[in-house]
Amino acid sequence: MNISYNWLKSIIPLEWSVEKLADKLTMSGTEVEAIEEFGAEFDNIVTAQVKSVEKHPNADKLKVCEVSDGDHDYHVVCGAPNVAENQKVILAKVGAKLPKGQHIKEATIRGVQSSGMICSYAELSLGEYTDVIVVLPDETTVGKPIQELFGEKDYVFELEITPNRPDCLSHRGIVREIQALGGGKLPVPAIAIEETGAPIDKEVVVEILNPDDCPRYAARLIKGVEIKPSPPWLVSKLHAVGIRSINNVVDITNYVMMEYGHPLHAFDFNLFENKKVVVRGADKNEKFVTLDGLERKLPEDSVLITDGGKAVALGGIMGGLNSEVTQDTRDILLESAYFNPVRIRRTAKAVKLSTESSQRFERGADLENITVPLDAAARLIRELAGGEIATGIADCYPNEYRRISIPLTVEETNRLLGTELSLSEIQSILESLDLLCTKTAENSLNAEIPSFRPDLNVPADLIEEVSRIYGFDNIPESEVLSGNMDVEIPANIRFAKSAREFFTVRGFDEVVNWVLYNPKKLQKLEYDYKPVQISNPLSEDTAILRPHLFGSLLDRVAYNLNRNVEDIKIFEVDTIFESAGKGKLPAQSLQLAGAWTGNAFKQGWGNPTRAVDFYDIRGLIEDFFIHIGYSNYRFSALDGDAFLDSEWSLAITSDDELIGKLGKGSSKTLDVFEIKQPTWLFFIDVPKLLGKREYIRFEEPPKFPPSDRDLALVVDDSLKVGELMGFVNSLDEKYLEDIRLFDIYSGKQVPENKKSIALSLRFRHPERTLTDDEIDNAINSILNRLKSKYKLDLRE
Amino acid sequence: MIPLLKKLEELRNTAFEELESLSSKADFEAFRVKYLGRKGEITSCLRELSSVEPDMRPKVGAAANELKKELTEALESRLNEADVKAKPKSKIDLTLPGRSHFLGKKHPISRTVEDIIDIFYGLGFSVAQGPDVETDYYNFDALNTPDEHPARDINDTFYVEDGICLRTHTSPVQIRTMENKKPPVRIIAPGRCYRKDTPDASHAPNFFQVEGLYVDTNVTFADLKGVINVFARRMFGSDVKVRFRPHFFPFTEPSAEYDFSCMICGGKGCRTCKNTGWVEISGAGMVDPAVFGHVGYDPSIYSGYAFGMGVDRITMLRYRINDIRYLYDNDLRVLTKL
Repeated sequence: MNISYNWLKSIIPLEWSVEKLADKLTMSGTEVEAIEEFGAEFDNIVTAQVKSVEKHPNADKLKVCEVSDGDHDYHVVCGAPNVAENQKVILAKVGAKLPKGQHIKEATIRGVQSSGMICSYAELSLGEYTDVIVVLPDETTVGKPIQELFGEKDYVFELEITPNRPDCLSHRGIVREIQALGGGKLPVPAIAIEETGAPIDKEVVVEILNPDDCPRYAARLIKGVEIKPSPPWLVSKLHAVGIRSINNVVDITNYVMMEYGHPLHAFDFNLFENKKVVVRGADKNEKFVTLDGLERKLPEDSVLITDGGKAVALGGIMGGLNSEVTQDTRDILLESAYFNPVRIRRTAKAVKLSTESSQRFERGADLENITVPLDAAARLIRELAGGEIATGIADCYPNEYRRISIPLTVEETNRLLGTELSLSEIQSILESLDLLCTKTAENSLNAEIPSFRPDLNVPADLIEEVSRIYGFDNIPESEVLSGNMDVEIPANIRFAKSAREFFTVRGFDEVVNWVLYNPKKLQKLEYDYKPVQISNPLSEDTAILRPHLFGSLLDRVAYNLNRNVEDIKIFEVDTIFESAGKGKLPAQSLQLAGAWTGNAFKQGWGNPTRAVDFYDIRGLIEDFFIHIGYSNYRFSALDGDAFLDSEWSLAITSDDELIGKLGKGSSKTLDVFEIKQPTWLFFIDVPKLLGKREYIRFEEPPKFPPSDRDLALVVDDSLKVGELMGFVNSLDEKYLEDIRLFDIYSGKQVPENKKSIALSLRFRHPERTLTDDEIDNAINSILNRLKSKYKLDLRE
Repeated sequence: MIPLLKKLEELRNTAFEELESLSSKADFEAFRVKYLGRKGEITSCLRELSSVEPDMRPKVGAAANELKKELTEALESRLNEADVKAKPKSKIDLTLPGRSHFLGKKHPISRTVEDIIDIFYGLGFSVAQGPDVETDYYNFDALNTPDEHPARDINDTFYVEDGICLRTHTSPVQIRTMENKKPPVRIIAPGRCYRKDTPDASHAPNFFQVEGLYVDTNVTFADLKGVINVFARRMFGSDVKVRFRPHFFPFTEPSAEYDFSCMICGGKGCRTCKNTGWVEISGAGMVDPAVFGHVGYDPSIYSGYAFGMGVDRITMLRYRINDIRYLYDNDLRVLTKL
């Protein structure tokens, strides 16, 4: 909301500078988001008098005027129909720059020289009257900069008013804050009103049929007004707070709203068919045409203001087109009412209409004081538009507002804040906010809550008021004591950190992707999952929560390949989701996954490299398991996968349960993600892995040296090395400690369809050094059993 | 003097002189042939010994041999000298760049979250977690958010189905933690949040927060100020200042927003802090008694503070990133330099 510094100063004699006020407001909860200097844009624009008006020789609609600013006379061509001799007007002289950026220069208009421009409010960006010039009062002195008309230079504060503080949505509301902060006293409004018309109850009767939604409706009647442009002071005040001038009556309702915070509405009373106001709830499917000309279908029970027959306003939100104040309006019915915040919010949301009025009623208006702004507006209408005010107010107020009283103790205040405030300090803060306090005991009080503070209901609400006015800066800062509470970090978070450390050192960059994901790619891959579908997604591309990290990783591979990054090694450790059925929260778990494409080693001088292959990715995972101290797993054949090429992929299992996969992205996968080079992938299901994890135990280092023997076996090409090594391991040969593959060869040196496998076998006895005979025996035993199982030869 | 002896003397002078002037390998070889070769000068001198009187021969012979030895040594030494000079320049080139291997980096968001966890772990906070997909109860109701609150709107919050939404903040973890544990409770809860914001330079529809909560007897607003101040200094260095401004949240009272002095300009005013010298970090406050009501804590016995912090925002401030989209594009040209 916008607040004018000068406007505030017209309510109290404020001595604070703009900066000090901004700081005080911000630090007490009314955040100043911006301060705009206002009024400086009127250089070279002055008051002037029209001395003569003649017809333009070459244009019917134009006039040539002689205009004087007291010092000089100027020839000015003017197109406004209302320009006339002797008028006091606003002249933009040559050299002036108008708010919309237009520069006034010497010009020739249809052959006549023009040295300036007579201005309308629209040209000054002050209002909507485009075709008529501003006519100033006769007593205006000519030659004065128009800043003097519009008041001195102003500062406009853009304030963020939190939703709990409807009372701050006006200048008087902000002045009450200033009062609490010690900047002055909010004056009680004293509005002298001249009621010269007939008694109001002879003119109009107000009736409320839905008092829950409209607990109070007050109206005044002003007859015989003249609708015309507002005077400059009013136009400029509204302009400062961002409201465009419409006409005097409408401007007054807006002005009073900005001053008091209460929305008013003015009806053309002659458009009422009955001399009454009946407030009722809308019927089911009822429709209504609002001021903006749109027909709106109303939710049932929306508040309608009617004339006893037709509806004339959508209560609290917007008036009706059928009772709008126009140039021809003579009699004004002025409304000041209170509407139920929840009802207004529902209607406003349903009809998608948020107005200055609805925003205030939604948050809660000041029920007790609705006649104050009503009087202020009636008085101003009489002053600026003439007419006679009917005597009295038609005030229908079925159930009087009951103030609540909140008890507060010194102890609970200090217990929450960590302060040492006394009762008198607390009381004076609350009273500075116009809350009536009664001391109830040595250290306690009761605060009575007026209707302008609907946010205050429990003691904590009062403590908040005390704290913000006392100042958060004045509350001490305690020493942080970590104490002796147990502190724990969940295993998955520790795991993720450990994984990040390993994979980054192994050359993988970590990525963090959106969880909101595109289901289409997964569909194309026929990936089988139970989607967590968002019912109101931003777009179809972000309609699910991702069930797997592979999709995001492949997206990132494609993204980076397209940006000429050639070697891509990325990993991610994050949450994945699958639906657990309707009405249930989805299953979510942590997944670790990575992608690798390009070179196996970083290219550079003296670094021989090659493309990454299966054994790189397998070795990576084997090393990762060593890093985290995990050995309870094995690799097994992969039985089909939506992302992976089964021929080049393996499953990682633990006790026959799948805990991950690794291998090559299938050609279909690469097609779907538009990746044109082999890409290797892996993932690990973290909760499953953590469930299988065993503790690492200390092992004594061996005391005796090992004996290593190498074996080169020539076997059939088709024999899987892992199977052969597994077989050797399964023999349980005593003292065989380790078996390691150190070479594999096929080519000229071995027969066709054969390959040579070079194994290194390590033997060790725990208590002594093994003899050569023992080792020879062991080797022979192994070889014999191997030969009885496989067709193989020893390679010399 | 014996003519041969004299000749040897002259030979010595010219030979040594000549040797000094030589440089190339071929010259040295020619020199060797000329003086020391089988048909060389010294050899021919020795051959002439027969012309010397017999009793003088040993003396002359010795002189010739002496000269031969000296010249041989001198030639050797010159050859060595020349050898060193002629040796090709060293091939060792220490200016070559080192052999490097692929090196990855943690994502800046992870680094921030890990650092936040480390700081609060050191202050005695455990880490708690909760589901990303939440019921309205945990995300709104139990946090004292009114039924009509705009945050519940389908334009602001993603829904999976009626009553089940993507959490809009990490605050539901407060409720889940308090439901399962009696005070004292001291936790932080890092995690993702979701809001229906169209992506731009400062908004992403999914982003990260860390929630903090401490409930015990006698926890005060002063304690909240203390912990946020310590966090600010450990995260951004000891020059950083903190300010608390009153604000409004349904689930805390008093509520505050807290700002850090701008670490980009040191508080002098710049574009990042919109010339205010302060950057907004997040919200905080004392747990609202209505929230305690939902978890069965007695507000007359217990009090507590809660705070949030935007991980993305803190990360952007740490690395001077001006557009949140860089965090989620995962452009390796950007990430590898951060």
